[in-house]
Amino acid sequence: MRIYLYLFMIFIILVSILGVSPLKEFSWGEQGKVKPIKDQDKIVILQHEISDLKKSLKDMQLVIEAQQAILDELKKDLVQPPATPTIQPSPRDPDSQAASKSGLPSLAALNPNISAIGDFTGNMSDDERSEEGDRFGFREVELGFQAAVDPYARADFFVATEEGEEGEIETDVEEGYLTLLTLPWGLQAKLGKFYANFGKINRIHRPERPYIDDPLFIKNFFGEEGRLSSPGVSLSSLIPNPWDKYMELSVEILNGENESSFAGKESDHPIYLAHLKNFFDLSDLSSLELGLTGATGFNDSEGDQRTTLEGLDLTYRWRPLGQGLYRSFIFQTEALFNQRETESRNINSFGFYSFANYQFSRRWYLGGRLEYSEFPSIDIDNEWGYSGILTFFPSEFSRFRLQYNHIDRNYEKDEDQILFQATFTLGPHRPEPF
Amino acid sequence: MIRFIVLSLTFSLIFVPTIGLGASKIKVVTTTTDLKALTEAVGGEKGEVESIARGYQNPHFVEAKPSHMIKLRKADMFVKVGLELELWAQVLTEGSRNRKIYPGADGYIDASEGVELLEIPTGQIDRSLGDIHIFGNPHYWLDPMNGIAIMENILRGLTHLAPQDAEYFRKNKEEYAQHLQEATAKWIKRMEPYRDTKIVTYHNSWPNFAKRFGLKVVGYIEPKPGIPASPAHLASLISLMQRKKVKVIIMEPYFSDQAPRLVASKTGAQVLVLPPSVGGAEGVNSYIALFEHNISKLIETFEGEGGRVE
Ligand SMILES: [Zn+2]
Repeated sequence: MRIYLYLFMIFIILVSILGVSPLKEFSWGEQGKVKPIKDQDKIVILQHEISDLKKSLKDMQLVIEAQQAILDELKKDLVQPPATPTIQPSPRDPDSQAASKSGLPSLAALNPNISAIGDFTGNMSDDERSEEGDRFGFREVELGFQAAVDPYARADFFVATEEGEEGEIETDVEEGYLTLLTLPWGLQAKLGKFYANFGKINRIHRPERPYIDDPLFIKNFFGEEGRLSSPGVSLSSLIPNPWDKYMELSVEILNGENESSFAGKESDHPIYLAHLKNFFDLSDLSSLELGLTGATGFNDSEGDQRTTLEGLDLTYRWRPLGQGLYRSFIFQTEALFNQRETESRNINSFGFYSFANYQFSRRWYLGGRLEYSEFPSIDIDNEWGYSGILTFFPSEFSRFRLQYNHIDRNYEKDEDQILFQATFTLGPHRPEPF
Repeated sequence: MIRFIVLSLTFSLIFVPTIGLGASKIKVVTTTTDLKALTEAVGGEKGEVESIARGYQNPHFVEAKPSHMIKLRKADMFVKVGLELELWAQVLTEGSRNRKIYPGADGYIDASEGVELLEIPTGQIDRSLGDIHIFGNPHYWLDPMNGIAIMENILRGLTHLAPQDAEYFRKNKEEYAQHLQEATAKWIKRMEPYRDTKIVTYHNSWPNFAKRFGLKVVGYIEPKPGIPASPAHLASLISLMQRKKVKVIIMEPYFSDQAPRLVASKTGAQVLVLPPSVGGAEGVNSYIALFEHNISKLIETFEGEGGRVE
């Protein structure tokens, strides 16, 4: 009997010396599909993993011993032991333990994305009549709540708390709308209160605009709030085209609440607005966006006098793909044309701005703005604005900005302003419209 | 009127099936080139895959261009890395107005499902830790064995969309997984002599890679993820590297080499630019080629380093 055992052992030793498994004889060696090699590979990978595990076991043993020592210490002192100090691997330790996703908090994950932006400004002007005066201001705190409502829709709320005219605190729902995402034919609808799709800058919340103040024409035609916005509905669709380019048409019906260009709060005639957005890639690095807007409504509560606005917006963007973290350039220009019927005559007025911003390092941007604006109901007064803007981003969530404005007015004396802004955000990244 | 309806019906009967046959390829859009490479491996000739980001582009920051929405509009399937790597993706999928690729749909694939993740933060977290990834480190594709789990997710998506080709996809996946396994075993063996070598990386992109191939990441050029280096941080990194005798700094091609070069000049370490994604360097055009390239470069550097020290 022993002899068989010896023979078997010799066979095993031979096999292991030759490094072949007996199974190899029987595999048909289809190219690249030799089973035993696969197993060997698995073994190599597993061996490596096991030695890793051994190491972390050793580490854990040390941790347990340390904890045991602490526990013993505590027992000795006969004190009610506080919660065992958890020795957790630092999140950035590359050897920290793998964990499964099941450990994630499930209900917290259902909370909407909540973000808060603080917008702190400072203002200095050589004009005594300047509304802001030489002072600091906490322009607004803007809270954002954004999440999917159900599989068919998402909701976005932006509530701003700002200082009113007499220093009292006012709370205002800047936007609050439902977006229906799963309508037929690729349609999307918005219901609620939202910033109207007029050009580019009107859609952007003030703390996120690329300059501290609002462009002159926005102020003059849409008011000190710096936007055209009111409750309404919006329907948008992508337009198929033979060039396969992005072409989006949106149609909006809004209350005529805007007081600068339309009838104001008591108006019961809506504003009809249409916006066409066209986007072209010029290369991998650069793109061009061209937008056209038309809006019409009444500027008196009786609905006798019509105001029609046309908007034109053009945006050129450049950002290298590889080093895009360090360099970028944007040029944006918008123009607005106004035709307003009044009791006596028709007024035609106009405004525009051109803005360029160059990113010259990871955290610094230098920009300039040139602008001109007339007024909704006066076509003989006008103002020119010249601005220089320096922006510093310590991180994606905080930003400091310094701006110099010179404003030339043909109806009043010129003004020089120095503005300062600090903007800081808590919460998740907000998805930004492009 | 009736004639019109009959006519259009006949037309649709004639054209629809041929259109259907002509476009039988499954259109897939992925966020990154690595996912593209793996989707191509599984989908074979039955898939048509496009990636939004380039391999040499920082996947954290990709512009959500409307032209990408047009690509996604026609996609049958969308694959992303997940774990909040691509914060820009939500704007794109919503903007595409393509219900087939909305979260929860069969054509929406989060490649991180079922992957063993590293560095899920514990305890109190806030942004004082930098731009941290709260669901775990999203650079998990840099462990070739996670490539298999990613392919499993892709396979699930493709099988849903074309059940008739399920067997074909499965076979493709098995084959590629086996190649990957063979290659990984070889890479591990080649890296064995350099086991536990200490390295510094620019961004925290390499924990999975380091774990698989036995490297020790002891520091980062970035003081915190997404935060640019300060002089104070670099000074402490330099002294750490001197103490721990770190001789290699790995950086991704999309960062500025200014800070790494400075640290290298003070510590005598070498800066090695390694692509973290397919297409991130010349000749790196498949998932396997990505690791082949990186392992070879590392070994070259370690060998040169050994020669210099002795
Ligand atoms: Zn990262």
